[in-house]
Amino acid sequence: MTPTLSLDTVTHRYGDTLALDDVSLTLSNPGIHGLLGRNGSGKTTLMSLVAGLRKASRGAITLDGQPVYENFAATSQICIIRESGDTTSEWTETINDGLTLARDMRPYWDDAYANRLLDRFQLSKKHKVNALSRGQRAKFACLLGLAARAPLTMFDESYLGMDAPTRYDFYDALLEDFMAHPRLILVSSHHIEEIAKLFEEVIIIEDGRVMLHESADALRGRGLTLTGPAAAVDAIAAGANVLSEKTLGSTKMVALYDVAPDLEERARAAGLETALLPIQDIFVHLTAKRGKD
Amino acid sequence: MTTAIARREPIFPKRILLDQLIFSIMVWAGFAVFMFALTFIVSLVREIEVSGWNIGGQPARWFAFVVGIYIGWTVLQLHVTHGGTRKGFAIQALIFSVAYAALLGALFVLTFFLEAGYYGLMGWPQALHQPELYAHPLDFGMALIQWVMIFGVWTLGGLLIGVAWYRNVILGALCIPLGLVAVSISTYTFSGEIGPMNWLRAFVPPQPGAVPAITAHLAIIAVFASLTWLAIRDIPIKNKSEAG
Repeated sequence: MTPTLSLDTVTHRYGDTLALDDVSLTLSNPGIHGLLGRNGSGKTTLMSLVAGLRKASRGAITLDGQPVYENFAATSQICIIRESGDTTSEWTETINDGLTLARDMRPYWDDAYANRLLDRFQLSKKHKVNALSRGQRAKFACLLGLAARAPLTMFDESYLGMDAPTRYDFYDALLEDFMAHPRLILVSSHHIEEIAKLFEEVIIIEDGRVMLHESADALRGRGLTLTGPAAAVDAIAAGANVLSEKTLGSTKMVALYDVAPDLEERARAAGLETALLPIQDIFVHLTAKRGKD
Repeated sequence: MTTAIARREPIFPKRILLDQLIFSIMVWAGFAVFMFALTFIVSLVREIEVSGWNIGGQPARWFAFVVGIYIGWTVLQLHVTHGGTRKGFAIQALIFSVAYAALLGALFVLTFFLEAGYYGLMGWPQALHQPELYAHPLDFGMALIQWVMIFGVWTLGGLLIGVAWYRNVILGALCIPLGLVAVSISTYTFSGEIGPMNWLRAFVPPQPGAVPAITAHLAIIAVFASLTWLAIRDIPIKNKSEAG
């Protein structure tokens, strides 16, 4: 069962700081969806509100039509794993204590899968949580998120601290588990180039507002690079929305966004090399255009 | 596909109670052995005239207080981040505090009987420094009532300070004088001693005793529980970096 998550004109303030500004968003398709944004854009606030960890200053957040905040019928269907690893206590608790808590609290918890992930991530039940390295903590937090099998699962930068091989192992585990148990998974990450291939839909949030929400395939199709002789590239790219350009001798490469439907065909006919622009590049260009450093 | 599972939020704090029960029994066993050993060491330099275990009630109530803080500070966050509600936590925490106070009270009072055997063996008198609700350590009924109430107030006091401090440092600090007032009233209703807060005499019954003690402790528990709920009901669950 994939739930429908709806945010209707959600605004959230921390004192005088506006963190989310009139956000409306609906997610109902099963998939691994990317929530992208620069630091301070409002991603963590959005996920925290969706999980009921905070109460929105204004607006409504529902899961399958039910208000999320202080509603166990909704919150028990949601799992959020934040970068700070706050689903585990760290006084004297072991990984086994963390698993026992999750088993007790999570209605969809899969113990056998959790044990397989322990082996996969090379964690021991006897390890004390406060003695784990940052990467090990991240692995344990991601394990808790995966094995919870919540219909709405959110990973908020939760694999920061993992080294590259472990991150790729996590992406594989995430995809495998999603294929076996399709559900709504929302991932925020700064490692966009690594995980973008998993995304079904992409939401880009900037300055607390949703800048873009569309399918990952459609987004990829909106960006194009052209490479070839400078004169030919300039001729084809004339009038297009140019995000960046590089020149090496007589060869030029331009990155275009929101290209005309026939532009790729014309470029190929002119002998230019074409390639889809990676989502990360589109994200960088879209958010950098706002004049931030 | 994941099959939808609907269940009610549990209100009985089974896991928290079990965790704390095991931990507290371990601490109690260690503390009892320590107190008995300490009494023996003291007996080498002076006469034993009163129950050492009764004096051990001071650190015991602080232990209950710290457990209350742990529940309010740590378990609240875990409960909500794992999909529970604040209301569900508040109900569980209240039930926990009452049940935990009963457990600690029973452990504490039953230890007087172990101490009676030990003192009998050593030929020491098991008297009280001053009578409270119970005139002798083996007055099981009254001793149990007193210690359950003490542990209840201290556990709930810790819970209140834990959640208030988690919500806001100033709010947490403001709870400290409230706690001191509660402790003074609690002590007075058992022993007639009110400590440095002599001004409180205007608000307490003229004589200590079972009825004033039970009434005062129920009132303190009601106030603590109400304030705890006010602090919890819309508390933001912060990132660990913010909360620390």
